[in-house]
Amino acid sequence: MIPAIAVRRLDKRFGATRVLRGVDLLVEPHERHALIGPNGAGKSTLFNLIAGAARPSAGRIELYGADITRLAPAAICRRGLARSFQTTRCFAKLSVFDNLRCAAQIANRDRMRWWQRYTTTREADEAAEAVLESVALGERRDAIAGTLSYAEQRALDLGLALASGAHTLLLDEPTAGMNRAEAARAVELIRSATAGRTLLMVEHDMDVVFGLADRISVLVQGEVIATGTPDAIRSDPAVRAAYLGDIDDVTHGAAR
Amino acid sequence: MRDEFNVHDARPVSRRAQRGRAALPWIALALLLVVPPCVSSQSWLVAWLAQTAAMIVFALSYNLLLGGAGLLSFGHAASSGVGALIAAQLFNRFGLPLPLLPLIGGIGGALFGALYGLVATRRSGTAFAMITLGIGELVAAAAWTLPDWFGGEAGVAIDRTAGLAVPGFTFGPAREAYALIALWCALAVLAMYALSRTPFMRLAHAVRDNPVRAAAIGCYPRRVRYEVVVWSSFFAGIAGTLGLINVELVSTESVGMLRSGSVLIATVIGGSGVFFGPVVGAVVLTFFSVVVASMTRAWLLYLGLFFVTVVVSSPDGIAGWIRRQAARLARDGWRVCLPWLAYRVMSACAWTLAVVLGVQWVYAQRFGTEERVSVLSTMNPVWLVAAVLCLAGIGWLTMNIAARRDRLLSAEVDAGARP
Repeated sequence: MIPAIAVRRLDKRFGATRVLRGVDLLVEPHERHALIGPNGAGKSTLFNLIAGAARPSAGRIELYGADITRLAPAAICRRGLARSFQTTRCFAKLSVFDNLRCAAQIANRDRMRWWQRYTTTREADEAAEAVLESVALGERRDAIAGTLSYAEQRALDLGLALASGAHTLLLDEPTAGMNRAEAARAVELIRSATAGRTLLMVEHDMDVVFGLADRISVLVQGEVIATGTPDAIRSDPAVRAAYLGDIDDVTHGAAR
Repeated sequence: MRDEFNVHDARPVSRRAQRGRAALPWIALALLLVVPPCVSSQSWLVAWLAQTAAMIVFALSYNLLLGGAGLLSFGHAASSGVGALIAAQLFNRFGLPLPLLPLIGGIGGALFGALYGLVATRRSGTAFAMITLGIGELVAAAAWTLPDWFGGEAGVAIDRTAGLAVPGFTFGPAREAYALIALWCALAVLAMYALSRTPFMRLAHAVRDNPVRAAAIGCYPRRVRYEVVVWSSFFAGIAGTLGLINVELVSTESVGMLRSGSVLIATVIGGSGVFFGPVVGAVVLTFFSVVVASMTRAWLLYLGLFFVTVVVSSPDGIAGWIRRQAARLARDGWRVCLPWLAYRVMSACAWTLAVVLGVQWVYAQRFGTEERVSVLSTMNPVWLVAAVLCLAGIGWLTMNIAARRDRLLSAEVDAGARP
């Protein structure tokens, strides 16, 4: 089977610092894949490289077999890979609905004539409406995005990725900065929203990771030291060594 | 800033009232363009209105860049001047019908925009501003070095009556030319309003708010910026041609830095966050440059002072200020707002009088009878200083009272005393 995302021997240097050292990562279609690792392991850098926000020093990135290594972020998105951001980003002065309409409108471009960019299209509006409901922001439809609460902005960020019609999602710490209840709600949201799609996410909250992911990759000091199912990762000696036993507490916590 | 106010504005407003409020600026604009020339036929009035109409289109086209895509341009006059120049040259060569001339100018402006946009839209923010500054200077320099195209010192003149004849109109009299200008102004404002409501401009807003995020939803920020530059230059070309029809001349000044600066000032005074903001700014600017300038040579000083006052006290311009006051009125009602507003107006009047008295006295001393308002030159300086100090004192006092009421009110709102 062709992997949804294939990262092959990816290197990234910032000057003399080698942030990624020959990273290999395969994400199968329709799986929820989590990327974990201590701070500074290079997770966000890897994300930026996959999404096209930065260029790798060496190596290759494929999306369903097609090389996307040197494409612009917009071109990568148009091929069906959408991302969310670690620090929340949305279009602060537009309403929630207009935010989503922007994304839906671009996703809908193949079905539009060139001049329809200047006329309202029902298809794009309907797609935006559907996403609005699926990320549970229906009541905040006309609120200005900059005035939303933090959790709502994260939901909108996810909504933007969904509305762009992507089949593959990169989520960068989707529950960061949320309290327990908000995080639980966000996990449910991600679970339902990613049904039938491929998900690669970076996450620090181990409850979220072990609850949501089908497979987990562990990135330590720019190298993937293990990939496998949650159970396999839990009992992997190299991972345990890298996390200095932290993972024990977490998995015990999850078992409770 | 305005948006937060809307969020807190909990009082339900009926649809009809909302629509009525939305129609207000349109009615005001129509009245401004139509009524004065029907009532009076004084030549300065028509000249002022024609300049205002051209400036309205110019400022709105500028706001497509500034408000629409967040692009600060220092060379917008180049687009309008080159558009007008192309229109003038074609008009002189081929004798096109005058009513179609603004369209020609618009296309000329758009072509120029398509050219400079290739370079300028590579960057946004400060870099874009610097590139447009350079391009503006470039065109201004070209205007001086290419007298065959730009007409050198004299500029390129046209004869309004020389075009392909339109039955019933010669466009010789200023009033007929004004009718044409007003019609094109209305058309351009409507077109820009329609453009501002399109999904494309929504995307431009998205690029303005966050280009990185916009790229991540599959939009090429540079292409969007480029398209906005072309549209903006198109309408700038129309505005330039309206000016050409008004004065029958396109000169090297019309591509210069001064004009680029004045459209920026008009847009910022009016407020770039509201569609009609630049319209207000254009009216204010031409009021200063025509009406005030006809009375005193200190008009530029007054314009500068007014500009600084607006930027300091209401960064979102006059339109933003009006919007905030309207929201406040809806929240607190007339009874609370009226005294506050009265203090504010009183303070503004007192300050204005104090400044005008002082400045006019200095100008009268300096220029004597050359200055139109020269009564002041014979006035006793002691009395003058006393009057200025007195007025400034009143201004200061009322300003403080208004500010204190402001603080009290916001404290009450914070404490939840007012539902």
